[in-house]
Amino acid sequence: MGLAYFWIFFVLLALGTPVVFALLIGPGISLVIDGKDELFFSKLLTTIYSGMYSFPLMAVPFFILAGELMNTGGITRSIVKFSESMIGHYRGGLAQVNILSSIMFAGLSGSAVADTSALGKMLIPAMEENGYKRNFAAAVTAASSVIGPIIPPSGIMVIYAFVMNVSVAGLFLAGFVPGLMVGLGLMILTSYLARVRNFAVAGAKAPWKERSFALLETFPALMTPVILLGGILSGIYTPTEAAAVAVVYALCASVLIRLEVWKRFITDTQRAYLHITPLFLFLFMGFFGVFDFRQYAICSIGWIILAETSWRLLRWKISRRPVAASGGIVFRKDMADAFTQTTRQLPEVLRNTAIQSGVILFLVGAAVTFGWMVTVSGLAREATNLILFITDNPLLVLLLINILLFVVGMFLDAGPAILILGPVLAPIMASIGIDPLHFAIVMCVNVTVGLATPPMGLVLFVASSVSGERLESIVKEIWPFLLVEFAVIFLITYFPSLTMTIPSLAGFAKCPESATACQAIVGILGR
Amino acid sequence: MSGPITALHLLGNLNRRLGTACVFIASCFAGIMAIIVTAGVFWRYVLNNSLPWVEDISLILMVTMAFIVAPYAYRTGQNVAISLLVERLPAPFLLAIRIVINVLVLWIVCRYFLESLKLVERGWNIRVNSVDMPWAYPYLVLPVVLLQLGMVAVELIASDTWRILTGSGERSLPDPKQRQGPG
Repeated sequence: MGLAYFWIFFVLLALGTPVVFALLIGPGISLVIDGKDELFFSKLLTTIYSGMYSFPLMAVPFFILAGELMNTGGITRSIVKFSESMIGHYRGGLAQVNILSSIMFAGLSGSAVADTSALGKMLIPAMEENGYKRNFAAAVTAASSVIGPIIPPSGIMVIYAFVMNVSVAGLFLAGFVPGLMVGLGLMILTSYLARVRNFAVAGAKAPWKERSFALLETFPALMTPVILLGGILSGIYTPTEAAAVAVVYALCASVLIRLEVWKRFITDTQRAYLHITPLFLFLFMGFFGVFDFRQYAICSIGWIILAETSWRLLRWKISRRPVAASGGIVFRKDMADAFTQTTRQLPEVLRNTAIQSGVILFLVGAAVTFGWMVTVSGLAREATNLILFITDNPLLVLLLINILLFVVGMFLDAGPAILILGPVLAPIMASIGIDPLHFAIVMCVNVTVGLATPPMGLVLFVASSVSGERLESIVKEIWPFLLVEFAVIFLITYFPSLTMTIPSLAGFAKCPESATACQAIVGILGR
Repeated sequence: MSGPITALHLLGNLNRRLGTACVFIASCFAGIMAIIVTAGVFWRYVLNNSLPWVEDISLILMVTMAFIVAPYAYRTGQNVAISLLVERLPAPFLLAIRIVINVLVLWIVCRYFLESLKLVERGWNIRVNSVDMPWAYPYLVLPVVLLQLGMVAVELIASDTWRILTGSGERSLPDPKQRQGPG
């Protein structure tokens, strides 16, 4: 079978054909040219269907749905409030709040676009009011939003894991360190820029009581990655089931944070911590296999009764204050109001989810047919030979491929880049002895950073639309932040210990030979 | 000219309504998927009794959801594309390129439509693993969606052709009701 489909695909792509149709038309025309259309068209059609018919892939719509639910449920506001209470008092505090909020938001949505849109709407006007230039505010928002798909959960990682047969849980764990490195790097750069440009201080240092209240407010959001990863790592559910559980959890959290009773409950911070901290510990014990579900439920309910009783008795004895309990709120009405508010937004949330995930999944189906053509035509083998003809030095190959991914990322969205290039590049990496998980995380981080690189960075467009600032003006300010992100890509490429240690500790990978730090840590902690 | 324009308007309205209906159905499917997969975890982990049909049913719903959103996404331009290079071309060239692309889409959709009919026919003889149902039912979504995609492609080709012929800068066709109105 010829390679005509590959060139036809690129010509169609350059002409502005939607990627999904370019992936279908390229192989179609190629088969007609080769006279094999009667033989293979039905195979391509069944491949589109079977390409989507995969349980691990179902995590994609679920993660989108959970993120949308959290976002509309007012969690974004509580995340920003918490970040502001913690670091808002430093010079350039609001820019730092933007980055810290992106790190925390990453644990919920796994989408850079959702991050830019949700945080940008809230923080860009606030930063502008505080004396920042609007293009700088938009650049910080866009640059920090790429942390979204790097820290788990991540839609892009689910797609990569599905296409290249890599462990989703392993990839999620590998994403933690690069995500935090990007966040930390951006914060250090912002701190430097704040001193040089003399950015404003947003406000006075928040007292610890306010901080602990803000932490309680954002607690339901912070629990999402714990529930997701805890369940996956303990083997209670698969990544796909975890995503579905996250949807139900997001729905419950959205109702909870709207409850007046909850708001009053967390106002009394000491009492709230007395209740919540042991429940949190019980949950961890459950994930480590100390409890099963029934024991967990019994212990939790028992603790709530015990804590509430002793709190009331203690407070009665010490202060002789009357017990305000729920402040006279009728719980049933409160619950009904919160439930109505949440369900009112549900149709829009489900609609957005269906459209977004429909577009992605159809693309995956089309890409699987393309991947099949890549395999059958021997393109992957030829690409491997070509690269190895240039050099067989793994370090140089990694550099070349990082440059290629960077260039592709400038023009193509992360999902299509992974779907098109994954089947071609992964075999090359395997042939030179690079660990599949290590390459997976390098590729995911690289194409994710591509979302914020001009001229076709998707989050740049979103930041431009949210801020009302011209794209060129945002691009001028985003370069220093992109340099930090490129430095992180360089570090994770050449120091595999950074990404491979956590998955190796959890048993999802083995430390590569070159990762001596990883081997040492696993050797000590693994025992 | 009013006859073909009215026909195209009818096609446009039909496509819009079908698209909206399909997105509504897809939204319902997204919700149902989340419920049944979570129910599967609950039954297995809490009640120690796994539901065998959960995986197949939720997958069929997901694939159907992805397909039925496709015509809406195509019509509203929600699919990812690289438009940077062609955007700078003069309007008539851009329209001509778009027509060529949509003709190619129509061709591939027609080819797959014919194959999908054969696939449905074959599907009567194969049964879904955990549910007593022939594969033909889930496969039925393919010809329906491909037909709908074809209708959208025809609408887009006609719309762009009309713009080239009239040199109009408007994206959509003029409303025949307005044309027939006073003035």
